[in-house]
Amino acid sequence: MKLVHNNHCIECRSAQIISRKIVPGSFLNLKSIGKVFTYKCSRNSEAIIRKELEPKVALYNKNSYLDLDTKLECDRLYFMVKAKRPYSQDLKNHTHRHKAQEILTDDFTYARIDVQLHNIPLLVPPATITLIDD
Amino acid sequence: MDNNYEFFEDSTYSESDIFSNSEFILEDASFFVAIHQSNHVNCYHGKLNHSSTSFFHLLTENYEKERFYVKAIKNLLKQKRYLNLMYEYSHELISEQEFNKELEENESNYLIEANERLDSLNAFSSLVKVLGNIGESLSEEDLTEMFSLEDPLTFKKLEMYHHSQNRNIKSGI
Repeated sequence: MKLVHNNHCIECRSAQIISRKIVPGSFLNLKSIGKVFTYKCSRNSEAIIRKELEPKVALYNKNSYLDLDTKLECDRLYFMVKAKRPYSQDLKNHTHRHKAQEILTDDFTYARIDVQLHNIPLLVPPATITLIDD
Repeated sequence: MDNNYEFFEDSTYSESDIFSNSEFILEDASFFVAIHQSNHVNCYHGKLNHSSTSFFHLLTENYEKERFYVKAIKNLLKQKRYLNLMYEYSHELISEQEFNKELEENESNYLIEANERLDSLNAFSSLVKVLGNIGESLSEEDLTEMFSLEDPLTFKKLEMYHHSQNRNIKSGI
């Protein structure tokens, strides 16, 4: 399943993140998840679920997609990983013309489309985010 | 003491003292102010009237605004330290071991607590004014990183509602 609109989100145990530019954001302590490292991706970004959550229940946003191989495809992507230490990016050939950065997470990961690709019409009504308040 | 004028005696307060207090108006519609001096605390308690109510609301709002400004500066400093550390690590100026040790031993220097719930109308309206003074369009991540907002989406919705209400008032709707 491919998701392409603003505010579409995934949550998983492992995600493959690919983007032309991945930059670290901050080190946050969120009530519902705990300590996370955040990242911001820009220019042709993707996030693909590689391992589903166990149990398969959203922890941060009730409207997150959780199925294996679900893919976010967008311009700007925001994601956070619950890990002991931040991940470093690997450089890979994304297309024959452009190199891209890649992170394969192995901890709880939440990713959200911040800005969708410009050639795609906006979703009406827009996708919503409902944070889980425990 | 019932006389409100006692509160304004020059010898009993300084501006920095007064803004260190957050709650000025009590549930029984009276005011209470505790002013910390060098070696003692002066307490003032009295009945509110129309003008003093506005005054104490202004004090409370200023206290909240200062709290948000200080929080934003502290959080941005934490983020700056974290990004500096990440830069040093990614450019191999420090080893992975040194990086992990620094993050574990001095976590509070880097970790931003997202624990601001905005559970009072005063806190909300004060933050709206602070953001108005900053005058920049901030993303949800910016709001969490700067002001520790637990749920910046709620704030965004409330802020939009607040602005639409103001527009309606100005246009006479």
